[in-house]
Amino acid sequence: MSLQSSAVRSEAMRQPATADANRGAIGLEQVAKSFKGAVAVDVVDIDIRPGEFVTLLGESGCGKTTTLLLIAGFHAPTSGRVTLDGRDVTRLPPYERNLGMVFQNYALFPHMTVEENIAYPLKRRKLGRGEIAAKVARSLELVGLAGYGKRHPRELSGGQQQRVAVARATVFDPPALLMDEPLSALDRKLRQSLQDEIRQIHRQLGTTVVYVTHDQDEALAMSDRIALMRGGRIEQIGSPTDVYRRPRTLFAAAFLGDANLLRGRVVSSAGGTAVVELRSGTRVGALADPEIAAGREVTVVVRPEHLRPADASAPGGAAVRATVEDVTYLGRSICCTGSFESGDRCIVPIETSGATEFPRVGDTLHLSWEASLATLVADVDDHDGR
Amino acid sequence: MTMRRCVQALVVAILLFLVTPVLVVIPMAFSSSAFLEFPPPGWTTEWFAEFFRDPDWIDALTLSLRVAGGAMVLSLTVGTAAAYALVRRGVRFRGATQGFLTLPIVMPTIVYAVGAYLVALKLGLVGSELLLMCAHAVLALPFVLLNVTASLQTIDQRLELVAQSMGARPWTAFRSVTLPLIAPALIASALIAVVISLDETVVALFLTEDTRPTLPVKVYNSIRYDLNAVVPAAAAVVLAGTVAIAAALGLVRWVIARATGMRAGAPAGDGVEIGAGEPETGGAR
Repeated sequence: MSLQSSAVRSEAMRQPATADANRGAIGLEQVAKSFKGAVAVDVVDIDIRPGEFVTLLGESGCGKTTTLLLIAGFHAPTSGRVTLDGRDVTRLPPYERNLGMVFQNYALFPHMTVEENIAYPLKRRKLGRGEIAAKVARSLELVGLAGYGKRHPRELSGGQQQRVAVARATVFDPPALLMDEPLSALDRKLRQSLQDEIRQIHRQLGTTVVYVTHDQDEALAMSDRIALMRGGRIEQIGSPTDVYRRPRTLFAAAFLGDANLLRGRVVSSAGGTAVVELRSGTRVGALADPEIAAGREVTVVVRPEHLRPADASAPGGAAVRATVEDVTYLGRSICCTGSFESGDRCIVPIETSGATEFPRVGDTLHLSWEASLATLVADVDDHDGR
Repeated sequence: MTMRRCVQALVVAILLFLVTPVLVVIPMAFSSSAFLEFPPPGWTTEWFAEFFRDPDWIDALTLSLRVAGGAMVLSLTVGTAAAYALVRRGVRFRGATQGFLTLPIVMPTIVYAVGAYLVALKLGLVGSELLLMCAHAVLALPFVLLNVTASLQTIDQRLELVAQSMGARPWTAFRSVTLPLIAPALIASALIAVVISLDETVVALFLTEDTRPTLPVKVYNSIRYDLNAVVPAAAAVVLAGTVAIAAALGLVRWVIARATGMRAGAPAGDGVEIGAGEPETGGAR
């Protein structure tokens, strides 16, 4: 599939007439980057469609920022190809790539006013004075900072400064906007409102956004697609629901949200449902994976919110016993942690609404889940208590 | 109590020791006597008039100013480029390079002067204005380097990256973003370079010809060979120039301190308009 699309792209290169349809498309083909022998990005392939909001998610050192800087042109890849708007830009310097860029600490020019900051990319493009003023005003309005143009960045709050940075990165109408942890310096509340604003700006402008973050909630809330990175590679890429519901590796399951990870062996796999025998001997159901055959050691991934109190009479439903070891009150819900009979860690949220009695430490819970909501992962972590 | 008295006396003695030469030179410059008597028998400004009338003194003064100007430009250009490379680019043997470039601070001037003289002799460049400029630039380089390095280190490196992402070529990004931000350090460095060159005597003694001395060299020659009464006036001129530059330097430092203090103390959010031209509150008690 990637071969086919690369053929399409090189076709587009020879015919710049089709560039418009590709405006905002970003491609990394077999891109790798190492610094003095240390591998930062170890073969990344990604195809970003025009107008798409893609998040590179991962822990620090996973190569997500390096990947972004490869797209921006601040690093040249050790091998592989970078394409923008369907053109090969691997050797193009950053100032000729026409991309908007927003950094974590805003990187506003402290010696310029807000207006001068936003006018900067327009001046580099030698626009007329009137046109610059009009675009700057429109851009300030877009980010809700009309009337702040004459101030200096230091006179603005962190959130306002980041809005100026977004205005400055979008005022020249770039086909794509690259954002490197733009909200991590802000406090939680502000972060959420700015997430909404960034999404709104993305919808309004229709630019492609490549967004780097280590915050899984941010990634889930904002993205069309999440590329989960680890060790310089993309571990899994897909829509937030896809990556959350159907993690393909243990790492993906553990990184995005909480997960109950139950180790076992596939007994049978038929009719879309796999039966897994846990280490405790209990048999449970999960969505079958055609690549995982019977007899294979697996981990069953069950999201905490998919756990239900087991009804002994439920036909075919799995029933697993777990012992409560800790109960945390969270207001809207209660979080019970403990261990399954098989020894695997257990985490169960319980809604507080309507309930009068809550589990206590030492209680035994009977839990089940709908087989189609549990996912099989072909890795097994043998370190107990993960 | 007595201990405290002793310390106070010592402080006064040190201060006197520091300023006595200046306290002697200034009255002598206005002395009516032609024989460098102290205390002066009467007062006159004749020696200043003499200084500014005598083409030899004026030549020495203008030579000094030209050399100082050239040394300033050279040390500023090289020093800024070196500081930029040291801070922003991966320079091999960074510590050693920086140490080498700041060597003139610790190197005995006389050693450097003799070396420079021998080189100049070999090249037939004794008396060359350009060579003296270069030599003075070398002496000023460490101060430029240290100042600009310190300033560059406070500037977010990503400012230039973001400028490049918005279409600025590397040089444009440097000129429009980094340069204005290090301007205070550049001004301070320029003033220091001028002062260093203006009163540098040892290297100038070796590298100038007897007929075309710089001002400090002419002061030295005059006092040694003719006991000229213009000398204190000439020295006072050098002193006045140095004091003026030091004052300018202080002013630059004060402006920077104010600007950075303003930045740190600026209210976030509903930014209050900050007046740039508030009157100084110096005399208010």
